[in-house]
Amino acid sequence: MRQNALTVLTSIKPNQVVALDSLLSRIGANLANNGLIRFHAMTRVHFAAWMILPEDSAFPATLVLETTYDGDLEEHLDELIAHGSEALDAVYCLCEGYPPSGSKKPSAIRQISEDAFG
Amino acid sequence: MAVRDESGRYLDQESKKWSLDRLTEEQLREKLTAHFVRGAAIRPEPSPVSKAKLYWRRCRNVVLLFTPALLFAPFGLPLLILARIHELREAKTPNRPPHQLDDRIFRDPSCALNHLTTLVNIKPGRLFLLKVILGVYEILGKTIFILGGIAGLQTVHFARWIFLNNNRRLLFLSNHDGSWSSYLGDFSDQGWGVTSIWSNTEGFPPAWFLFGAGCRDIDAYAQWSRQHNVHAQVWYSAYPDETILNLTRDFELRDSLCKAVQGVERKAAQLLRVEAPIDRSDLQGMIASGYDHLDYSRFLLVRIENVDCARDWLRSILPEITTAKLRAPGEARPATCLNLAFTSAGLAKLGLADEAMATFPREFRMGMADDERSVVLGDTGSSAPRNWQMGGSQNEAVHILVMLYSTSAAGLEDFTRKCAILQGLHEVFRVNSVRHDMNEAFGFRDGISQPSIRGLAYKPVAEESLLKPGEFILGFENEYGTCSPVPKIPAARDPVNLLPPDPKDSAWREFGRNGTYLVFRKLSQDVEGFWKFIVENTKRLDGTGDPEAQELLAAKFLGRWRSGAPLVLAPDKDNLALGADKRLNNDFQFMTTDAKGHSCPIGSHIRRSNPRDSLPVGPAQSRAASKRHRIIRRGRIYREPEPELQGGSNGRDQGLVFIALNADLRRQFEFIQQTWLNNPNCNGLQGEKDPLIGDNDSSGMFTVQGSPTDQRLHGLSRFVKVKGGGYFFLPGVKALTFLAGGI
Repeated sequence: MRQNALTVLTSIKPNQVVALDSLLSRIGANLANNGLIRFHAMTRVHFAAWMILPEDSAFPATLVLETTYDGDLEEHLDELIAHGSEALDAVYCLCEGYPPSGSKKPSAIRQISEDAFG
Repeated sequence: MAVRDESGRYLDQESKKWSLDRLTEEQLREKLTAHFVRGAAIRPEPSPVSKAKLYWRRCRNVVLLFTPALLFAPFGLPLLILARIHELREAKTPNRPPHQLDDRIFRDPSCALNHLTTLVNIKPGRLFLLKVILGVYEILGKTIFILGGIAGLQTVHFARWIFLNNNRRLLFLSNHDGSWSSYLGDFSDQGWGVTSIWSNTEGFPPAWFLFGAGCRDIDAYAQWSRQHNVHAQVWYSAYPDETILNLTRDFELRDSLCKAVQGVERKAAQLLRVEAPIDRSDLQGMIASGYDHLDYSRFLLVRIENVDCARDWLRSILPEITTAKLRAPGEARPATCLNLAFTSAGLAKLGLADEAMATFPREFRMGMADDERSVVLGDTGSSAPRNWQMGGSQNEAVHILVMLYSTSAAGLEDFTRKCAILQGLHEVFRVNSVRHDMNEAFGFRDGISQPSIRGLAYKPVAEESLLKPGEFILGFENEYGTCSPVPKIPAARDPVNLLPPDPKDSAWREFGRNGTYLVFRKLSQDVEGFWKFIVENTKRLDGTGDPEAQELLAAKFLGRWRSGAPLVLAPDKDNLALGADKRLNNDFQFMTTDAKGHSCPIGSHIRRSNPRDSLPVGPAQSRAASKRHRIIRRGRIYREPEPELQGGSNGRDQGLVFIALNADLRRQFEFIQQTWLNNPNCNGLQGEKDPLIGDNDSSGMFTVQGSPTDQRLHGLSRFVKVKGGGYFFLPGVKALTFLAGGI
């Protein structure tokens, strides 16, 4: 099965960087049982990371989602949504452009991801 | 990883049963392969692309890229000059201060894997150079560096560079082995690749012509890296403890095991396939099964007094004959089984004329009690046929052997009544057997080493245990690539064409097809005498008994411990788990681990009766030769209820109803008996016979090989006496029908 990579870049809403950093740090500190995303249940994912590129004088704060996975993007996104929809909602509602319905509408998050990926 | 974990789990489990350090690497690999062949929890699947294929793909890509590389090479020099101009100009400009310094950037250095994110501004005017360099590296990464490393770096799982903010910043994301500093050390050692990229970004140590210097200044490089690192709040790895090296080894293990498993399965499929299918419904069942689920058995030796009555009886019990036909799905195993075999005299009595009897081999026609056969078999002295209880020269003639099996004592009685011997037949002798466990009378587990018949075996077995059907079924090819003679009758004697025609001569029909020869012997075991000898020869200096030494010496006689664990694999003490493991307890050779017999003596019973790879002709030929002298054993223990005068523990006669099946009495049963068991010079020994069942006469010897000196035991008597027996023919069902239908 072919290996692929996904990188999603999203702008963080004004004044939400601290909240997002706190949320992600909470997930990162408890990968196995954080109640939001079940990485270990994903069978296609090799690596996944979320990081905040900090704001500086020239550039706004940006959230980066980086994954490496087996198979095609469609299946990978399905898996991400199936095992991490709560985390996706919680994280991306602090970012610009995330649909209000959140990951309950997989097509919406897929669109976000694909836009960002492109 | 799953394959490696399963392999480790299996080997751990095996090492608890017996010492694996006695095995060679090749044997360990074979064991591991066998484990996966048998159906482990997981199965090693081949990699999507093999390493060899990747190698050839890389070679092809090198050739394909050669011409474009030549075409573009002239542009390299202007690019280098351009880079150098930038470098000289930038040397006059101070570096921008770091945008962030986060103490959290360093993950736990004890982690096998780590994540690195570097975010840095691209120098003004360097975007073109950077895009060219990354473009070239992307091509090289997809075409040349496809064997698990990037330009010599074997620590990177994934790496990507991304242009951000309208190509003003460069983001590097990487998952790598080891700590941050070791990762940097790797890059610094490699040097040119990293420098050619990062020297286009701000703050990187100055390069020389794009590829030189730069990260060679390790301190400056580390400082730059530290300054531009971004901490990942969330980082997940599906295999946080697996480095590239681990994974590469895992893939190699998985691929090699996968290849080995496929090879074994292919070979097994070939071995299980036979040129001509075997008609199971025409085989008497005991050829394919030992009826191990039936603990109660009875062996009746019968004389025909009235031929017509005999045929009537035969016809009446034909439906009860157990065949080797496979059970339907869900069908229970039979609660009773019946098989019939006939002596030469019995077949003649039932009407096979001299011309037909002449097609049977000489030893069968002579019978076991013949003087010539007695010499071959070692049936001398107290075991001579004149002293037998049945089948001997002084006993009533025997024509038919009726073998009855049942799940219970009552069931056996009922079944015996059902197959009642009618008028015209006389029961000459009867032996009953009740099996409480799989041990024979001396106390050792019996029936371990059994060959399987190619074409009847339903699952892969070790190649050397899988024999061509002609070794045990007449009419099929044997291990020599020929067929043992099939007894025939003139075609005229079979007007209804019940029997198959002789393919070589239409004037004959094959009476013997799907039949085999059956050796029946009542072997009385002198249990008391055997253990007395063992005790006498293991006494301590103070005259007291040494139970451990007794067990060891007894095991040396047999070659296995009481549990069945072979000495080759468990040389020092019994291993119950190994003994109970039906596959492992017979999965060994002698020469690879015990050539000198220090574990399993060269003269021990199992090494004589099945030398495996230990014959003087060399291991490979020895294995082939051993396959040509095997028998299927269907014996049962017996224990007479009444005390007898001769032998036996507490005066009781006990021992084995020895039953062996083979297609060639002389080449198989008699050969084993004469050339291996009773041969005083077997395998380089001198003046010794089988210590357990050899025809020793109280002056027998047995050498227990050891280091620095051997132990030689004297005064062995005959611990197993023959009390009767005979050679029988076990016909196919069609031949039985033919006998019942009148000739």
